[in-house]
Amino acid sequence: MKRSIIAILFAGVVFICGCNDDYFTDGGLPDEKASVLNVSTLDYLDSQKGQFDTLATLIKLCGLEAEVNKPGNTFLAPQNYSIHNYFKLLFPEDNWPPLTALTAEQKEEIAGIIRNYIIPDKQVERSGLSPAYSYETTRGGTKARFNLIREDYLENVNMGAAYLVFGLNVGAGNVEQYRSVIVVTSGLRSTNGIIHVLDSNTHIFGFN
Amino acid sequence: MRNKIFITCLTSLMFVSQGCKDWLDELPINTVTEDQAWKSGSDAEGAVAKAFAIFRRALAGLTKADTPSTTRNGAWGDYYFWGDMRSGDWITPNNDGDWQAGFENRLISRTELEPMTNWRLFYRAIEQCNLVLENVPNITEGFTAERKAQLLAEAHFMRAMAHFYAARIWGDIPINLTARNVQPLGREPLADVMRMVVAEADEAIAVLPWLYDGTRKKSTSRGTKGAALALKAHALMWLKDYQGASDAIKQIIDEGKFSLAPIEGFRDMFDKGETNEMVFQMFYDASIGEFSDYYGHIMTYYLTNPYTDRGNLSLAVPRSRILQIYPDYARDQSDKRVAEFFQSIDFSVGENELRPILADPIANGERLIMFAKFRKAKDRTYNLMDGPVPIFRYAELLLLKAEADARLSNLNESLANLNLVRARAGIPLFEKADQPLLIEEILEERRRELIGEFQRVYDLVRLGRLHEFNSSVSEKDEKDGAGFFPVSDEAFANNPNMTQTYYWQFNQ
Repeated sequence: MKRSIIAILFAGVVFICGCNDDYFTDGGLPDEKASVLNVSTLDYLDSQKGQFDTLATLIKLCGLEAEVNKPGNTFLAPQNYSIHNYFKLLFPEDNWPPLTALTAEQKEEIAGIIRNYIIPDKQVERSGLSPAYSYETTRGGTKARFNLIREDYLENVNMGAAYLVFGLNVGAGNVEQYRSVIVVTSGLRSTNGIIHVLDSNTHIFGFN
Repeated sequence: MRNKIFITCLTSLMFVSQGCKDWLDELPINTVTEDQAWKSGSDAEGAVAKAFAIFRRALAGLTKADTPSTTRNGAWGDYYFWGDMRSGDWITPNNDGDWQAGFENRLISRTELEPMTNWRLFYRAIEQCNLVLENVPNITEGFTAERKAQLLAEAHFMRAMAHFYAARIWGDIPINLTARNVQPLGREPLADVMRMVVAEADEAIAVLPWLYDGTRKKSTSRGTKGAALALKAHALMWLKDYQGASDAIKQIIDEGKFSLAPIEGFRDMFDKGETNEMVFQMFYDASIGEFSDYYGHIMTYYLTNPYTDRGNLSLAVPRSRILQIYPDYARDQSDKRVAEFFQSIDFSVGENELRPILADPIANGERLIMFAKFRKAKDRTYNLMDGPVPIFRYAELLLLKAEADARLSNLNESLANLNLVRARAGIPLFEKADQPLLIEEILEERRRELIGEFQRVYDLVRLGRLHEFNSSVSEKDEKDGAGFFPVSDEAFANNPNMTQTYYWQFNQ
């Protein structure tokens, strides 16, 4: 009799304490304001030395500060490693010059590439995108393509992370041929526009 | 009480008297012991087939099931890592640290690479052959004398093959030609190993048939005269006996059983292994349950959606390197092999849909082109694969003969064979009868034709030129043996005669 009372009491304790809702508690959705940077696009790039200092240096060398910081635009930010791989392609022998010693022609080419990372007067946001393609025109006049893809999570179809994909037309003449890159951090809001950070593993500056 | 004691005693007595009947000692009929394993012809057939099966596993790589000294769950397709990884042509698009270390010849720095330094399975295949050669001669029933001679020749062939493959990877290796050897064997010079391989191959060549009954794929997955001649030619190339190598391959050509597959036949060759071009290959066929389980095939790492369920590339050849290796394609897209070996996938399509394959094989960017020479997965599960693993094929042998002939100054002969391979690829014939230029061009043609086919690094190491293509290996490193894999710790256990390769003594 005593034993059954103890057993019942124990079961009771388990029932009462076992299903605490707190178990499921996570951090919740991120604060709306977490992505608000309160600095301009270029200042943000400047502040993230490990990720973007080469990009910021190139923007300044090419005199594109105003275009990058123009209000209401979208900037797709390639990371340092992407630019490193770009120079590695240009100079396979690893003998690339310091950035300050780039020739006017090289700077012109780099400026052309950076302009294709700017979507002027349009804030491209995840909420406005779907798996179907939507098209914009970059500051450099090239056609850009955006869409959203969703991964699987533990074999649950479409339950994984959703990625924004940025594609750029690299085709010659009338043939459209897009090279794409996924965005690894999206929707950073600077004081003048919106920033999406591009994957650096596979993407090479200039969509090479 | 007395009753109880009585019953207890009686029961124990019953157990003692009945419990130990002899029938408990009877072996289950499916247990094989040494003294009953070698009775009939079918035992011999099974034993020889097993040697080939062990060799296939040796190529795929060591797993935790093979030795407790490795932590790796599945095999990785180590033949790629031995024969291609360090050629300087590959990158890891998702920046995998193990792969990167491998490209840079840092083979000991990562524990995940450690199983690749272990030759245990090659010696297990060799031991199986040694047992066959010891026991099968005593079997008299169940097969014809001719078949018996063939099986013994196959054991000679496979024993030579396993020694040869291991010697290309580790350089100097122990030679083990006796069954149940318990002596601590030291490493023999590479040249001695290759001479032994030639002698063993000669024994096999005398007896083996050109082909067996059955499909081409089954036939070329076993020891045949063609495979043994190819093995002999390869070993002679390492010994710089170019005349011997050229003569051996000439026998294969003259027999006329093998031919170059047309470009349109590449899928039959690289998906199914069903072609007149294959001379010796590892057998896989998912339709009869023979597929590479749990990784085991290197395709796992370079294929993605739509072939498997992987989302990103783990190994690839960068775009600029493709254009450099295939200059004819870069110029006018004439090299038809590029479209057969590489594909661009539309990565802007989600993982859970079948990603379309773009029409232009190199439409994607530098780090996003898929190597798709071998692309037959069992299903879309990323670790079950069904493609063949070629070891010798006809085009490769033509190019090997071209190299031997060029070195012997038989330039016309050499040009003819080189141009057979070039003509099939649809690129202009090479017509400069200049020995150094020609030898260089043949090496480049081997690089183009055999990319990702587990030959390139062996070519470079054989010629002492790995350092020219892999910037992580210096000329002095290569002279010190950096081109070969280090010997694993396991080989040093209880073996005072074992030595480490000179380079790896200082680069642990």
